[in-house]
Amino acid sequence: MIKDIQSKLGKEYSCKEITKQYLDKKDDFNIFITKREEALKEAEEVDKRIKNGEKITGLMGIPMAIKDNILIKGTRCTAASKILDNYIAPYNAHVIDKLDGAIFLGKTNMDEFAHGSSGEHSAYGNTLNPNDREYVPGGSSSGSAASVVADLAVCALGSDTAGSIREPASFCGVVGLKTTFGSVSRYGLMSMVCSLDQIGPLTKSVEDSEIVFRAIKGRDKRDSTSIDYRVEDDKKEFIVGIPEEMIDDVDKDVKRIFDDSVKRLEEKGIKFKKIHLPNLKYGIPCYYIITPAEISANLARYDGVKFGMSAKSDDILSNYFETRGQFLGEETKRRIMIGTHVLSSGYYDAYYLRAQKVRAKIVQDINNAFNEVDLIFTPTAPFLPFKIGEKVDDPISMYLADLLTIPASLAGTPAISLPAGKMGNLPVGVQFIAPVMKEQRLFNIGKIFEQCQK
Amino acid sequence: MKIDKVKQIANLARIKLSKDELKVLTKELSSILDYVDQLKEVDIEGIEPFVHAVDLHNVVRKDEVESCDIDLVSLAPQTKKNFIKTKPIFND
Repeated sequence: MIKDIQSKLGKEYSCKEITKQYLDKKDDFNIFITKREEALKEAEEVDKRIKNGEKITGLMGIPMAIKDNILIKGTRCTAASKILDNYIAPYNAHVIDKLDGAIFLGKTNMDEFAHGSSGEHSAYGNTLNPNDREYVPGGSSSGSAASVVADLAVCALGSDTAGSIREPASFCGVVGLKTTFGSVSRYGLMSMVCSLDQIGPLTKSVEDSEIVFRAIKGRDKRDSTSIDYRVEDDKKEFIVGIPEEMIDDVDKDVKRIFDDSVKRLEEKGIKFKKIHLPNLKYGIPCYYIITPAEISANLARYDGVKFGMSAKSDDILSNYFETRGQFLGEETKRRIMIGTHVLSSGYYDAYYLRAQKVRAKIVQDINNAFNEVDLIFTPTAPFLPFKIGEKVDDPISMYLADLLTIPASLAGTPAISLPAGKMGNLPVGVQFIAPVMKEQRLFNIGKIFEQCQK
Repeated sequence: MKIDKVKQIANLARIKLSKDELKVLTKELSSILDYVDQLKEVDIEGIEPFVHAVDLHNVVRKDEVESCDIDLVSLAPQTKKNFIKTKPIFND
């Protein structure tokens, strides 16, 4: 898709023409919070560069959508929160600078501050699933996934903390990559959970995923957790592990499509093996201590003093209370509250420290598995996309959506969600997890998987 | 969890909550904390807490002043000249 468009740029159509075509498409699914009309002018600049003989590389000339927690200088950036309703980004995120020549069509809808798995926690109304409008598109990168499947963008960037790229990719039927922790700079990504957040692509194909990943990866001195990343050739024959422990928790329709995927891969010569992740079920409780804890610290910055919305109050303390009370949403408040509690005096050892130790055990399980197998294979989500409103009043049942995506997040390993089939209108995705820095292995298996879908 | 405890947490978190919000959160926080309590089943004897997925430590840089053309001050709700303006922090 990306290569195809780039091969036609300046020949069959100009960048301005294709950008206009994308900007003019009707957004029937509440995908964008902010559209960027200035994209047309930027496309003209790209046309000039192509006319001047510049070689088309990276994402040059490609109309993209960007999740609304990633900063583009001069463009409103809300993270789908009313507390940032008036916030204009003062600088570019590192990934935006890396995507030189790409065209940014707009900022996509999401769960507020990336807190959610359905898109229903947006302060700007939920995104609808383009496959069936009564269903959630997944979250938190709801609009980014929906933009790709509805072809309102060629590809998109999202962020993934516990599955926020992979789960909406699965629910919408696109390719979603969670990158190795540290492989992509987070400078200019609004912090949610510093020990987990990663930026990654949502695309129509594995090849596109690889192109975007290669463009955005690499060390950035402004993010001290980012690492040097050299893409290396990787094996093309694999032994793939399937965790025994997940079986009871996976819905039967999802299981059927998953088993079918295994069969097709076996026909391509891929070997499968049972593995054990004995602490798998502790992933969600572990995550729901670490995450709120880090959220409560990270979201302390929204105080009505330095930027964003501010309530009108007579003294500084009531200004904090009123601003945060008025402008933060329900799930965000819930997470700040849990986080504040688990970090409060006397509780740190019982909750956060214990969770980080359990996390170490879960990571150890995954590392042990990688001594036996090259990849781990699971469904992306344990159930099908659910109806809008179905889980919104039951936070814990919503949290269960992350069961199979959390382990790779806790371990910092890369993982990719690939469309594997449909149950009626509703897409089902499957997930490959690779060892740290082995994105190339995911692209290799992903391309084999795409072939068996045809 | 009692409603007074929830009020105390909201106070620490600097969030004003309505009566209804307090009621709902009291119920929800209790069930979430019950749910995460299953971590107590895990034997963590002798386990070091997880720190970072990739082996990184002591990333340092020189403490040097660099020029910066990013205008952050004008984003503040209230400003005066090139300063952010707030209500008084200290009382008499």
